[in-house]
Amino acid sequence: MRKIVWLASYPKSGNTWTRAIITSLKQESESIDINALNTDGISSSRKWFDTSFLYKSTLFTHDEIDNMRPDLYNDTANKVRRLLYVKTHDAQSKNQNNKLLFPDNATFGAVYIIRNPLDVAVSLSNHNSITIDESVMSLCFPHAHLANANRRLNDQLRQKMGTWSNHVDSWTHDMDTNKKLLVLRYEDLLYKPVESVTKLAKFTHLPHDLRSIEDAVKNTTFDTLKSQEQSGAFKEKPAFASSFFREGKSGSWHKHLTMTQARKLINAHREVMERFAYVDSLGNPIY
Amino acid sequence: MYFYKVAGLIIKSEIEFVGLEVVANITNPDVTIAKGMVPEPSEEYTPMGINSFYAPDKLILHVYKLVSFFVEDGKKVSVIMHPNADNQDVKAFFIDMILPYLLYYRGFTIVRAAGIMVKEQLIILLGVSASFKSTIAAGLATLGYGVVGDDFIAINPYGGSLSIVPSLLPFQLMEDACTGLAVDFTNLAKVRNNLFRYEAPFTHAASSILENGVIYRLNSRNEATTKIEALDGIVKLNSLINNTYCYPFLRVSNQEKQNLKICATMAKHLKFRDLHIGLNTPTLETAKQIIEDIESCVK
Repeated sequence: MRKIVWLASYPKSGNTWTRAIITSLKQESESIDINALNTDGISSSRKWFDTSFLYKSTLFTHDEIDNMRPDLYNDTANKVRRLLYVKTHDAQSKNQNNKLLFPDNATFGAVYIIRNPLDVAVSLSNHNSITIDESVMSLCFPHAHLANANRRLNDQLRQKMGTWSNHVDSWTHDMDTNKKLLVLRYEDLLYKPVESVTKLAKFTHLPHDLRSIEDAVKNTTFDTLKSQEQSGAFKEKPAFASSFFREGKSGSWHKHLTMTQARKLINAHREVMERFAYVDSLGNPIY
Repeated sequence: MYFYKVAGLIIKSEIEFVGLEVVANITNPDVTIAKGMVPEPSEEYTPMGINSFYAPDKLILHVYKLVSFFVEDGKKVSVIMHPNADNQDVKAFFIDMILPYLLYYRGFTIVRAAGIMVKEQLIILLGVSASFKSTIAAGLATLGYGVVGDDFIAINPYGGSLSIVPSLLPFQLMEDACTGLAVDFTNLAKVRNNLFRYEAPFTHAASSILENGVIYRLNSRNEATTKIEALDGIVKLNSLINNTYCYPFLRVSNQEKQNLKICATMAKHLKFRDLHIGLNTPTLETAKQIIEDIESCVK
């Protein structure tokens, strides 16, 4: 049964924001708590793997786990009675058995959240406490992973990402024909929130009357989320980052990237950036 | 044939398990392990997780493209090894899932945890896999304290007081954990040949009754440094139940009341602490920090 909605994105592209919006739409309440987002975890959860397979994920190699993950999602989708909204930072890919990591049979749909990679580079640098150069390199590295160490324990399963373009392509290459895919641009959520949240709500079968949409927009403005983090704490904030919700703007790369860094990213990702209107046909940044 | 003693059970095995405690040839073992048939599950079986099935007195467990187990009457274990599997693979999954089941079958309650005796206090480290239970327990063992069990503890409900059966299985440590604990892993056996995870033996074993002690609930590593906080209320019981019921046969068995009663007893008698692990793999310094906390909270 197709019961899982994948909330897929490259890191720092608005996934948490999207989960906050979904929480508001699901709860139909006047506010949301950033530490109690009402979605269904992350696809790389070891706990999900362990409790479904009965044996420990730490007894397997990363590749063995990738070979088993499609069964995990199919099994879960077969057992649940409602739609699940599951975050993922994995690229969609095929495992050694030539099976899709996120199988069609389990998938109700995928929401792919995309953000200008120039801004992603800045946000990733803050999130991971790395330099901008390292962040730029990471977005251009074909073998980029999360939780990839094999000589120490990771608290999540390995997530293959590839370059930023690989990641976007892996989920959106058939976007013109794939009716199970919704691509949401971070910048559209920012500048056209009502229209974007309505698309999201309709696609994910959540309440999409005007009041629910307007509440969701109001409950999840950047200032609201940031003030919640400032007045308490956000459990998803990395230990060494000063804050999770940083600027919440588009175009902040102008302040933080050198022209060399920006050009490097544009050269590496120009084709995909143009497809999603982040650069014009001459390769000039739009935001 | 090979003969071993594990968690109090005498095992006769057709498959060699290097690293388990070897014992002399015994005519009446508690458990026999042999290569043989694993049946298709019939209607009497309840699906239990992915590719595993439970029926009264029977368990079928398929480990993806490596090994399949069929356990009958808590006594006879039939094994199919897939072409990619070796004896270490069979041993790893036997210890991870079949051994707890065999102990459950004999009436023990199983908790996903490590146990260690520190200054006459039973210390239980509770957490999911990859939460550093073994690393912290190995750190405490390196400081000279006696090990009750690692990865799971089996609670014996028989007799006047609840007690824990010592399992005497080696710690399973990742390479960087060995380094942080000054354990030389170069000559240690790997848990599985394609993993950088090693079987680290310990020198002092201990047994314990569940009267005095501290339970540490291990949490995710989203902290800059290790933090320890007191924990109270219903969350204590829930944490124990969650870590007991990660063994799904306990959910479908007739021991549910006993398991709940044992969890409630532990929640009542033992102090409870939340242990937030920092970003780095725990070292001997982390173990020392926990010793200080134990001293402060049992004063």
